[in-house]
Amino acid sequence: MSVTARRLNKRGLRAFASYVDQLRDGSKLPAPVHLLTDDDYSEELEIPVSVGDDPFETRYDIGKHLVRAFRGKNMQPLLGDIGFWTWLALFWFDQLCPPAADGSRKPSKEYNYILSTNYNHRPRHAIRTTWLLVDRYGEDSLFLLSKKPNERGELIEQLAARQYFISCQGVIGAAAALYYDPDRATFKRGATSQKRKGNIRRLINFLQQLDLTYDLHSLSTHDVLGMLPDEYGAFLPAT
Amino acid sequence: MQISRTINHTGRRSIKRTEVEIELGDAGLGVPKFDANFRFETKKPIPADARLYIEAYHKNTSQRFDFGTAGAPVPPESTALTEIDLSGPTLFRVKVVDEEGHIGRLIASAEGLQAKGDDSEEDRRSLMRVRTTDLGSQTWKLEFDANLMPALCLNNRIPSAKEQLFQNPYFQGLVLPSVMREVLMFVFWNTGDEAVEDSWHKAWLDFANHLAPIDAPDPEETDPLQLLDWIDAAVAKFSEQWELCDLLLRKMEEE
Repeated sequence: MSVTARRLNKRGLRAFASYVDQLRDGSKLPAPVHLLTDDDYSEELEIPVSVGDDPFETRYDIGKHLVRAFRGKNMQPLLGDIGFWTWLALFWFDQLCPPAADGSRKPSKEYNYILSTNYNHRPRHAIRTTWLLVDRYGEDSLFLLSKKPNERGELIEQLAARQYFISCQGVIGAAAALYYDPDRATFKRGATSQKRKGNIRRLINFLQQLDLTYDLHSLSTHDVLGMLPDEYGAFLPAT
Repeated sequence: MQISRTINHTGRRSIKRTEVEIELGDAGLGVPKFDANFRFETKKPIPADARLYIEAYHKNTSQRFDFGTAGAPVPPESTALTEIDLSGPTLFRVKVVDEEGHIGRLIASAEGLQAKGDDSEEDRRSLMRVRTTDLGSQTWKLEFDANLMPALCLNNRIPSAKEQLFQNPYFQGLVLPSVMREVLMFVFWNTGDEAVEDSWHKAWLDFANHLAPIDAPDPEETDPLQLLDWIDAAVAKFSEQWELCDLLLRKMEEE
């Protein structure tokens, strides 16, 4: 079913935040979906956006869905719209934070659902960051978003904390080439293992060093891959 | 051991602060924008065809602007700072990049540039910048940056917060000693090679040394107790000099 997206107003944001809080205290209440359409808690957008409520297999699918939904629209005014991104998180809340058989849920931190005013926490938003990555990098973002909608992986945890790296096409392209396993349709085994050479943390250390002498934005995927030390050999795609 | 960003095995040229002038303006709806003027010195020439970028940043957020080539800079259509966390001072990084020969290599760069007018004369003379900002439920906090004097951020929900700090004995008595202690702790844990002649670290150390009745511990000193003793002594002397407790008590009696 297709629904026209809205934005939560201040009351709606407070009510949703309070609900997430209650879940943490053991509440088994269902998601407050009435906030999505109740004019006391949400309002219409200036830009008409339709989204569907079909189940997604992965976060990447959420991103793809939104890329399609936003196609041809000027999303600039909505980029930082807390009410809009939070509305989407509530709309898909049962997928982002599914209830167990007894109705209980294990919510992540609030900023995973409610877009934070703190810019350090913004990249943790489950929907906005997913869309940004898929919109910008397409299938190159698969290695970060191949998990179920309710799961965040170590790879995205590591990279999302470094917003600068996430904005560099060559860096993301190289990381995708290193860590995405098309056969498993997810990241390669060992990519997050701290014991394994060439793991994601080592890559971040390497990029931090490279950033001292290179402008990472100017480097292509090929450039970054060409500069990697030998320890990444096991992850490098066969040529 | 401190790790500093001073590795320069590629011969990257350092762009001086006098070579770039950045001025902040208003892009509307409370969003700032900036203008940049470049006056690259000819003593160490920069290749005219090298690409020129400015990156605005604060904490974990950054936004990049393409200014064309170093020889003929052209500002981008918009320099509105729409992706920057504006809760603190926006700093600027200038990069001159080789995109012809050794692709992506930094030919010249400058870090931590501040926009003109973003540091008032008062700021330049004082040991601390004071700002009001959205701090949620926190009343105040300190912000540190290697290139800027520490900033004491006051919650902008407090009416006339800056005036309160300068005039209200409650504010002064309860906030300032903690601020001084926190800054000195930061300086000691982070000084390393940075206590150079014109750094703010040095200015704070000189200030505290002037106050403290005991000698500052050796920078190599690793005993935290010695360090804490010295900081305590400096803070006590500061509080005494400004009669922080007496003024607070007098204010209480008046009310």
